[in-house]
Amino acid sequence: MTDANRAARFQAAALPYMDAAYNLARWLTGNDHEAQDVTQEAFLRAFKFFDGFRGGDARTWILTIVRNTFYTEYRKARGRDESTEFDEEYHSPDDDGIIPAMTRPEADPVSILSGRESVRLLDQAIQELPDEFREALVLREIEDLSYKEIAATLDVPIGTVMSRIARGRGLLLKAYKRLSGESHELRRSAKPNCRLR
Amino acid sequence: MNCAEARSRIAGYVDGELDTLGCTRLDAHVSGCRACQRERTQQVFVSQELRRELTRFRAPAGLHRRVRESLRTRDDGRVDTWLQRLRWGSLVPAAGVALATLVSANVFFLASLPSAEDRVAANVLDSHLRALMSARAIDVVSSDEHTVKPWYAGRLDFSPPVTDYAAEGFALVGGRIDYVEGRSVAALVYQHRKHLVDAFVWPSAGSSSKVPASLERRGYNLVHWTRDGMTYWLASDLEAGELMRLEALLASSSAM
Repeated sequence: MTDANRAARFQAAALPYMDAAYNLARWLTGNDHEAQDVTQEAFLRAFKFFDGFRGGDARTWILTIVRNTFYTEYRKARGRDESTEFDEEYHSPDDDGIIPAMTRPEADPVSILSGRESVRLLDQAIQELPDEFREALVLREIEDLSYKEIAATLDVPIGTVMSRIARGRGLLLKAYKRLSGESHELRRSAKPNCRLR
Repeated sequence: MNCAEARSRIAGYVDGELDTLGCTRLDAHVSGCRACQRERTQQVFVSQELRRELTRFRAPAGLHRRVRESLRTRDDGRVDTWLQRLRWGSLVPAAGVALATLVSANVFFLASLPSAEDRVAANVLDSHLRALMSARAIDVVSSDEHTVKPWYAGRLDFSPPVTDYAAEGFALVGGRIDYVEGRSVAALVYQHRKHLVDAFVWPSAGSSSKVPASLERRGYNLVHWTRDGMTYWLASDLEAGELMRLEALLASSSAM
């Protein structure tokens, strides 16, 4: 296979999933700049290993590489301090302390103040979840992958996928309610904006 | 089925991942258990909310461009991976310096491999073919070197030699910017009879000159050389001998 031929085949197979790749990277990194770097690196890796890709579902293949790129290259280089985005504080189930997402420096004030607030709160709530729940939910609800595909992407058994999704939804609901309660209080609004009950 | 079993399967039920028997058994339990019923409703709600409201990020246009460019300027992504690591490394300045040393050593090593010529040849030919097939073979259409040369100013970080050889049979028809070896290069377009020739020009990495060499790739001819700090690659379906004539013309004017 000539180089040009190989490149053309790769582009046809992989580039249609750039949005999916970027979306996953965006949810993993939490910001645009790093998400772009992870996505670009993932596509270069995918191209390098394209000969090992024997047809099948290119989207799942690409998403797997995006995720691996994030964990192996990116997390490692970024160092521990920044990688513990979601600390133990979160794991105490009835924590009523300060909400990390509201005070995190990368929380974008524009996105908090504008647009449909419930959407922003939902975004914030999922951003607060530990990685393993967030990635499972993003793959399931945005990418609409099956449990089998998610299991392949995360390299865990299907049973684990099922329990992460179930638990992730529960945690998300809890985080969302807490955030919307706080936001509600802050704005002294009379109208509840929590759409999830 | 007890509550613990039911809880472990509710998500699968909601996501359509249970088989018929599993669904029936779960239904049987849930219809008689309010707590599990609530849990199931909750799972459905959260799932629906996420699907409807969670932001679905789309890759910025710039990213599409960057990825395409990096793919077409690399044969195997290897050099970019190293460069990428340099960038990761720069996030941690101390480690970055050490890494950068390693990286430049590796880039140098890769560049000095015998396959470097093949890699550039593939890049150049791809660019030539892409230009022939697309509508943008020429960004600036002009036979006037005094129009073409200034057009490059501000678009490139160097000034390519631009000369029209219409009298000698190679008419300048225009120019464009292209990407070869991960950098922006000048692509001058010449016409000889009915054939188009792309002349790719960029500043060479080293100071050494290279005598003209011709290659044949996929039925196209390529001639390349390095002189006066500039690397030239010609690509065309013209015969190599005719490309060498253009080489001689370019050599004569760059010597002036």
